[in-house]
This record gives sequence, C-alpha cells and structure tokens, in this order.
Amino acid sequence: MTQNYGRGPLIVTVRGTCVALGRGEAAKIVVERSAG
Amino acid sequence: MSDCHSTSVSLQPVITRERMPLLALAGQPNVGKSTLFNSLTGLNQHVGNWPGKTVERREGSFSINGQEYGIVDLPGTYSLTANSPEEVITREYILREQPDLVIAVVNASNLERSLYLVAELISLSAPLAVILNMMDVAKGEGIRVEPEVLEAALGVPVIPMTATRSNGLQDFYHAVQGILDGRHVSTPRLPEIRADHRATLDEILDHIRGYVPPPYPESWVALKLLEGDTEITRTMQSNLPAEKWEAVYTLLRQHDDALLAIASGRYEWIGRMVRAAVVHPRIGQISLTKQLDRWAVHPFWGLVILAGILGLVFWLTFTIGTPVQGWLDTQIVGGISGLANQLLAGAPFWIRSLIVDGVLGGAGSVVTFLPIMIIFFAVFGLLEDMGYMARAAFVMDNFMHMMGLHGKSFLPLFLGFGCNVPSILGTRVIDSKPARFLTILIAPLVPCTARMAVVAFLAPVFFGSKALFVSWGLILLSMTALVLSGALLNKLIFKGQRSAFIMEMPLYHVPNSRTIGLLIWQRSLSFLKKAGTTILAMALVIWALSMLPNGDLNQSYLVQFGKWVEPVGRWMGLDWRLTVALITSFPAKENAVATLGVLFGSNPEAGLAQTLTSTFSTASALSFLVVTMLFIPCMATVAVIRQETNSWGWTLLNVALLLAISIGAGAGVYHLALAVGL
Repeated sequence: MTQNYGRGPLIVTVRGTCVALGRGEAAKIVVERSAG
Repeated sequence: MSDCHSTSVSLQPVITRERMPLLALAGQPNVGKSTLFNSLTGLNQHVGNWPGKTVERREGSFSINGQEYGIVDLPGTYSLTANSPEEVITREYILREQPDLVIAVVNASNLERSLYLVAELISLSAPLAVILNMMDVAKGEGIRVEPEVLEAALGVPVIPMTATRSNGLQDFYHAVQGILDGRHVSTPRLPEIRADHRATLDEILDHIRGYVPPPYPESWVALKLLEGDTEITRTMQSNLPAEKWEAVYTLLRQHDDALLAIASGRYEWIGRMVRAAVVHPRIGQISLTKQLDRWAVHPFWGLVILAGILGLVFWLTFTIGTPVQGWLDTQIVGGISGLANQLLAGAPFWIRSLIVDGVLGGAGSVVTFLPIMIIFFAVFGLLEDMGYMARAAFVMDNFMHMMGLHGKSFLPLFLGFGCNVPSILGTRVIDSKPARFLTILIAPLVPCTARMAVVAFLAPVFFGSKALFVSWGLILLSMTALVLSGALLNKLIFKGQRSAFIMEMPLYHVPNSRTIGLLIWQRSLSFLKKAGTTILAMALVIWALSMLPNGDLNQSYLVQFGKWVEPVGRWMGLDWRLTVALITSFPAKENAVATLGVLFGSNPEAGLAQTLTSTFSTASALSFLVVTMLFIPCMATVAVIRQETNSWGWTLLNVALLLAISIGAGAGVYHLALAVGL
C-alpha cells in the first residue's frame, strides 16, 4: 500500500509499478503471502 | 518439456522479399514506444485506425544506409490474451502479417512489469529484439540495468536506449541490420508453465495436434486454451471434432485455475531475468516520482496543483491565443477579404459574396482559431508526455464519482476545453463501454474554445465591465449541467453501473519535444483538413441558403427557416435572427457571430456591438449566451460521436439531449432574468 487517506482511490505498488485503484475495487482484492 | 527450454530461431535474410523489411513495435503502455516510433519515422508516418476498430494504427518508414524499413506501432498492451481489442490486434498482427522483426520495448526503470509482455512475445514464432528504453529514468530512480546480462538471460538481442534523447538509435540501427542480415542468431529462453500443470498442457496439445488453423502455433494455442482465452477457445471449439473438443473441454473445466499456474511460470521467468540483470537502489532511497507524488496525488494539494495548471492553460489561451486569433482574423482574413473585394470589384455580386462571405467569412474565420488549439495541444501533450495526466485523473476520481464515472473519464473531458473532437476521441482510454458512452454523451457540455470565443466577443457587448463574471458564470453553468446530466443519465440509462478504476501511474520523465511537436503537427493538420473540407462545405451551404432564391437576405431560405423555428426561440426570448445565428453555429460554433454580422448589415466591425446592445434586452442576451454554451455539438463533433459509438441512435440521443438541456436552460434563465427585472 503506497497511499491511502481513508477515502477516495488509493495507490498500491505491485511488482514495482504504482497502480491507482478505486476503493470499491480495492475492497474486492485479497492479498495472500506466497508460499514460496 | 525441458527445463527452461531453448528454441533456436535462425533469422533468414530478407533480401529475397519483394517488399521492404517490416518491423513491428510492441510494448506495454507508458514504455516510450510512441517516442521511439516518432524518433525513427519523423514525419514519414501515417495515423489511421485498425480495420473495424477504434484503435489508432500508426505506420511509418525509416532508412538505414539507404535501405528502407517499414514500421508499425502496435497498440500498447499488457499481455496477449484476448481481453481487449488492443491485445487481439497485436497478436493477430504478429501471427498473420509475420513482420520480419518484432521489437519489444520495455521500461528499464520497471523491468519486472515490462517483461510480462516479452514473456508472451518470446513464445511466438516471430523473431524478437528487446529495446531497454528509459535508461535515464532508471538511473534517476537509482536502478542499474545491465543490458548484456539481460541479453544473455533472454537469448535475444537487447539494445539499451533513451528514446526521448535519441540515445541508442545507432546501436538499434546496427542491431536491426545484423538481425535481418542473419548475422545474429537468437536462442530465446522461453518461460514455462508451473510444474503442476505441465502434464495437462501436454495432454491438451496432444488433443489439438493437427486441428489448429494456421497461422497459430500449436503449443501457443494449447497454452491459450489453458489460460481461458475466449477467442482461441471459440476458434478451437469450431475446429476440433466433437469428441476431441469434449476431451479438451473436460480438461479445461478440471483446471480452471491454470491461469495462475501460467502467470506464476511467467513471473518465475521474469524473476530470473530481473535478478540477473537489475541492481535495485538501497532500501529507504526515495525516488523523484515518489517525492513529486507526495504533492501531486495528495487529496488536497493535488487538487490545488491541478487547479493551478488549469488556470495556467486558460491564462495562456486568453493572453496569447486569443490576441493572436484576433490578429489573424482582422489582419489576415480581413486583409484577404479586402483584397478579394477589390480584385473582384468587377465580378458578379454572387461570386464576390461567395468568396468573401462564404469561403473567407466561413471557413477562413474558423482557421484563425488554430493558435488557441495549438496552445491546448501543446499543454496537453506536455502534461501527458511527462506522466502528469494520470495524476490529474487520480485526484479527480472523487468528483467523477458523482456521475457514476471514475478518474479516467476526466482526461477526455479536460481535452474538451480545447475542442470537443479530440475529447470524444480521447474517450478511447476508458475501458468500460457504459462509462465510455456516458462520457461521450456529456463531453459536448464542456465549453470548447470556439464557444468561449463567441462568449468572449458577445459578453462585453451585452454586459460591459461585468463580462468576466458572466463568462465565469457561464462556465460554471456548463459544469453544473455536465454533472447533473451525468448523474441523471447514469441512473436512467446505465442503471447506476459503476466501472472499475484501475490505472497505472507512470514514472515522471523529461518530456520529448519531438513527440509533443509531432502531436501538435498531426492535430493541427487534422483541424486544417476539417476546416478545408467539411467546415468549408457547410459554410458554403449556409451561404447559399442566405443567397437563394434571389440574392436578398431578407427573402432567403435561411431567413424563412429562421422565422419558421422562431416560436421555439421565443420560449428563450430569442427572435428569428438570434435563432438563425444559433442554428448556423452547427457547422462551427464561431459562425454564430459571423451570422449576426451578416443579418445585421454589412458593417459588423464597427456597428454590430452597438446594434446588438440596442436591439436585445439583457434577459434575451443572457439567454442567448446560455443556449450557445449548451447548444447541440458542432458538426465535426457529431461526426466523431457517430464514428466512436458506431451508432446513429447514440448520436441522435446526444444531439437531442443537448438540445433539450439548452432550450430548458435558456428558457429558465430568460424567465428568471425577466422576473428579477433584467
């Protein structure tokens, strides 16, 4: 998680890329630690 | 399958081919692919659309030591799965057209993400070279990439480059010649699917062997089937015998999670490449992009910065663009008109009128808007090229949600302040169809420079020193109409659907003057072509209607039509002349002023302002300006809406919507103004 002010869209960094994500979309994403 | 198996690709010399060698540029968005294309081709390029798609197609040519090469800039894609038209176009082009060389452009500052597409491209049969672009940005971010190591790891040529500064072009030319002459022999190292799904992949391959239609490679088709690619699944369903398809389908159903196995295999492959060739900055080092983004995407300061940029654009437009436009109008178009009047003094009246009023007064005055357009094109090109526009979309996301849209829709709407035509074309960045169509429907409510020019002329005429407040009030009214219409349409037509907002935030980088220059050139050329064709034709039609049947304006068809529709104008306090002025603004918004000039006599420069002030009440004037701001889109915009929606239904809905809004708002403002004694 790169930026999250509690409301509005947020910014996450995935594999070195900054991605803007709507709050609704972010709520649907589950992040799991990889087994490896 | 062998571990990290290698496939030798011996590249044949192209001298036996009759056509010039063909190169295809592929890459993800924001990797500098277009900058490289522009650097290579300069003005030797053609911009069009891919057949049957609203995706831009750019082709061009360049030469190395006298040898001409053709090059195609494929659409930016993240992968080659049939999720979007861009992805289908890219893979179909590579497989069907079989370019002599596919050049994958990757971002050196973000190799991990960029290499995903390379992992797919390398699995196709086409010869491949990789351009490691944005080496300067990587350096600025503290990232060190070793091209030789990456080349050894990938097994295909890797050329480091900074396309914005044309660094690395000579190495690129050398590499292209070497590859196409057959001096380079590539040994690509391909990614492979995760171990737990390899047997399934082999089983699918056995079932489809002999049934795959050309030009698709069998192993690639097997992988795409397992990946759940809809296009390939459809193709194979129709090509396989029923029992074979049943067997394949059963396997696919049993392994519906195979996409993860394929993606993991690719990321594993990417991880190996990155570990070998990239040295990351030490932990804690803050990059330039992160430093700038602390302000640019801040919920409050981000909006302040965006408002400042918008203010700067308007300031530049009104302090530089408008005076230059005025100068062109009076000195150049006015001068030529005067000269034409003198030269044609002995010619029949209708010929003189055709040239002076029809050609110069119609299309000629529209051309004078070019300086204003250039300012907009330059500022937007600059902001886009340096990576700021994604930030603007991000900070506007909350505002756009009021209309059921998201931040990406802000980008085309912002373009609309320059001209609604690029604004409609710009909606292509929106992935969701409902969101795109909703944006198209409301985009013409953004006041373009042409409408602002009409307001800039008429507001001081009617309102004197209060003109500035009236102008800002009109912009505010347009924005309110836009938000309310968007919210209403979203509820009524799109049933409150909300599209997903996922957008990459590219790293900031130094803009490239060549890229921006080419963008200005192409858009200006397109504008001039439009002025010289459709706008000129429409101006001549309007002129003819004002001349026929007997050369007397007052008895002309145009005036008769104006009087016929006058009852509608009356609701808004407009007489037949103002109504005709509105109607003639359909070919080009600026025509409204020109029409009033024609209708109120032959001395528009000195007398029009005074005549208008003494003829119309303040309430009528205000209503006319309101309707002008919200009236139906101009002809060019309507044509582009038809092209982009591919539907007359949506196009007519758009026109009807704006007609209803403008008449409603005009009537409302007129009666309100009368009620308060204006």
